[in-house]
Amino acid sequence: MENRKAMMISVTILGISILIVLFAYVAFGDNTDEDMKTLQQVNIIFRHGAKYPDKTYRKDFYLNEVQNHDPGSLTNYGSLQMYNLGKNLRHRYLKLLPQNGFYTNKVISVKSSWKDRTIMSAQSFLAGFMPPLDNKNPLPIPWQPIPIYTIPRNIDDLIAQKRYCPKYNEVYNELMKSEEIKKLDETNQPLYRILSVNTGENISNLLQVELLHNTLEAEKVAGWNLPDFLEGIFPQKTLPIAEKYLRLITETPFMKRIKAGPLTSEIIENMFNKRNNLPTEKSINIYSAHDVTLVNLMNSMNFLDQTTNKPDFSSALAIELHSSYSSVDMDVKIYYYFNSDDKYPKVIKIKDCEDPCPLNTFRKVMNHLIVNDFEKLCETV
Amino acid sequence: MLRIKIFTLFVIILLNLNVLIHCAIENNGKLIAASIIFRHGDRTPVEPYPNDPYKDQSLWPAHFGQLTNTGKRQHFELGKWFRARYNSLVSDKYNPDEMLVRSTDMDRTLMSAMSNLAGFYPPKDLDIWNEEIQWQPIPVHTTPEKLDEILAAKKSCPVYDYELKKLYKSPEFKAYDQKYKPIYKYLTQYAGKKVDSIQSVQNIYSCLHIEQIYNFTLPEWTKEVFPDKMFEISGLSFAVKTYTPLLARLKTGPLLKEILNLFQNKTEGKKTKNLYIYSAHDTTVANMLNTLGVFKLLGYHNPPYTSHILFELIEKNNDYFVQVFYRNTTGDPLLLNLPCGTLCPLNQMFKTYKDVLPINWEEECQLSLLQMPLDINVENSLSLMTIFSFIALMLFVGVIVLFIATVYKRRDYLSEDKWNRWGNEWN
Repeated sequence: MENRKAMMISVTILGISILIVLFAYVAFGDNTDEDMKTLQQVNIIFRHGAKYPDKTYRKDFYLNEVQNHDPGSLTNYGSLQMYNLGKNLRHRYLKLLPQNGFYTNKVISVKSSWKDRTIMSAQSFLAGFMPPLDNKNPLPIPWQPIPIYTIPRNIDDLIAQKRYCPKYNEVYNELMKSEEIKKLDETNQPLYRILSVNTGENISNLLQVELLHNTLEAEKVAGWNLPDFLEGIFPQKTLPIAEKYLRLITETPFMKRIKAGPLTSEIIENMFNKRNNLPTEKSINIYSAHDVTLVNLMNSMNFLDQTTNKPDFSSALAIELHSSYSSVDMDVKIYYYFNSDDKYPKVIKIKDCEDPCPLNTFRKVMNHLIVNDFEKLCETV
Repeated sequence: MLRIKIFTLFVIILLNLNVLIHCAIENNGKLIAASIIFRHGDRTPVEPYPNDPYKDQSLWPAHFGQLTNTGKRQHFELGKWFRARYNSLVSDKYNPDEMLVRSTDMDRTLMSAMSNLAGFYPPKDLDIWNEEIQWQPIPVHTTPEKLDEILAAKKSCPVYDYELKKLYKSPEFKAYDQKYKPIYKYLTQYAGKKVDSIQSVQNIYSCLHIEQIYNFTLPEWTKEVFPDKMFEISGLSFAVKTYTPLLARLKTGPLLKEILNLFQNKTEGKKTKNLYIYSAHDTTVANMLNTLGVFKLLGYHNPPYTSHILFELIEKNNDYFVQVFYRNTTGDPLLLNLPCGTLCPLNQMFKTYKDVLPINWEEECQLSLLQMPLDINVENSLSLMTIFSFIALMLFVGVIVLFIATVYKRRDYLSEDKWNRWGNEWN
């Protein structure tokens, strides 16, 4: 009798606790699992990993150090960052990867800007993102070759966005001569002077501060000691200027269209290909890029304020396409990874579009960025 | 007994001689730069023929036209071999000033280059960035095919297309077509698609050849023509693209020119890399062999997977020489006997291959006005008439314009100044 009562109580308690756990899981468990069910495609744009400075300044203590390390090349730490980003994203996009673990051009496309560091970043990313399965690997190393398509600089309007555009240059030069910039230069005059004296370089505009900031950023990440005069200046004072400069590149609607238009157009096309199930559709599109690519894209797509004005090494933007429960159209979701170890990417709210954002509406919202004829847009009168 | 002794002696002398020759190259000269052109590794057929019993994608280890696991392994091994041979040119640590890798814009060549580099550059000491994998990223550069006149050689070149068309219409190739007509007919019947050219035979040959490598039982009908009869035609197809000096000049000239110029820069002490690696196709290798003038002597053939040509720049008593090897097996490379010898002075290389080195490729590719209409309507006399009447009309209009201009000029309608200015602009 006594035994039976005890059993009844224990069964009830056990039952209730199981129910509570289940309920809690449903209520508080994150929604990534739900996302995984509907995920159809992802477009990933990342900044390369940590690099050696592209250039240095005359009074740089590390002048020789930089020269010895191929200026602008990816560091070992940068490789590792990209590898970790790959591993991190692999977890989320496992479902989209080919089942046998081997590269196939039916599933994945990788493009890179022409620089060594972006090519190497893409390679390191893929080493973490798509390692071959152990039992099928033909090579004695846990790595597989995956083609990366590079775009020569002079035709690259997609990633480095350096394709020649006379009209853009006109608008840009005009902007740099504007009152606003003149005023900014005036206010920053004391800073320019300090930087010029201490670096031995002539620093007199925003771009030069941005370049210097990049050098210092790379040196800091490399673990080198920065000189004392930078205390309170880097990053506190240089960062806002670098950020401002990066934003200026896509200041006007026209500038946004020229810089971010081709990439936006391609990504939208990728998503439509997927939705309409065209033979060219791919589940994963990867773009190995620069900080400026990310800023241009995010500023033009109008959500830079939700992320960061100066993306860190190996930060990534993921533009996902999901099937929808409620309609035949598919939904666009955007996530931002602040760095390679970011386990909880930030959900981006797409402006002027409901949540989740249907692809058709997304296309309309981004209409101002679509580029069909680059050369024509760039013609000067 | 004596005979055996003499034989052994003979063998020893031969061996020594071999070593001596080898040493002569090694000891007296110093390798200072090299360029490698290789074909990708094992792949699946690019496009099976319509009646192919093995045209089902699922029978193959990779998608059509893709590098297979065997191909990855082949290039990984080849990378190790390159490392052994060129260790003196390239340090253990990757240095972009020492080497450059270029690939055509295709999956299989990009992947071959990367597999090759995985064997070539195992990370050491400080370069081990990741304990989990003995691999490090090495950049491979590529240019879209339509813009690549150097490696893919697919950039549009009207003069080349015109010349090739002309070649196919030449008596020599008409005779070939006549000779191979029975085979064309036979293949058309069995393969299920129209076969009417050397190139289309090559496509089927390549497919059957791969199926043979994969131990697929070939259909009964193939026994009649495969491999022997088709091999001959397929081999010839690899010579066609560079059959005349002009074709070679426009197809492979830019690549040969780049390689020789890089060597030249090296000898002049300019900043240039020690090793260039080009990842490309069977056609690239065959075209280069033919452009160098050795393809016929080697026997027209399909360059096998991973086959490669090695250009090596040798410094010897302040003189510079080029030697070129071809290696289409896993054995020793074959030293090529170029028209200027096996050890050809660099400046002699420029002279020997003067005819196939373009001076201004872009310009040389432009058809002249006379070729253009002929090219489009070469067999259509009616349109030829149209073109002639068009030219006549243009001439007529031109004369009238000139006449009017003279009349106006006489009236000083246009000032001297204006004419001069226009003249300057046209200059």
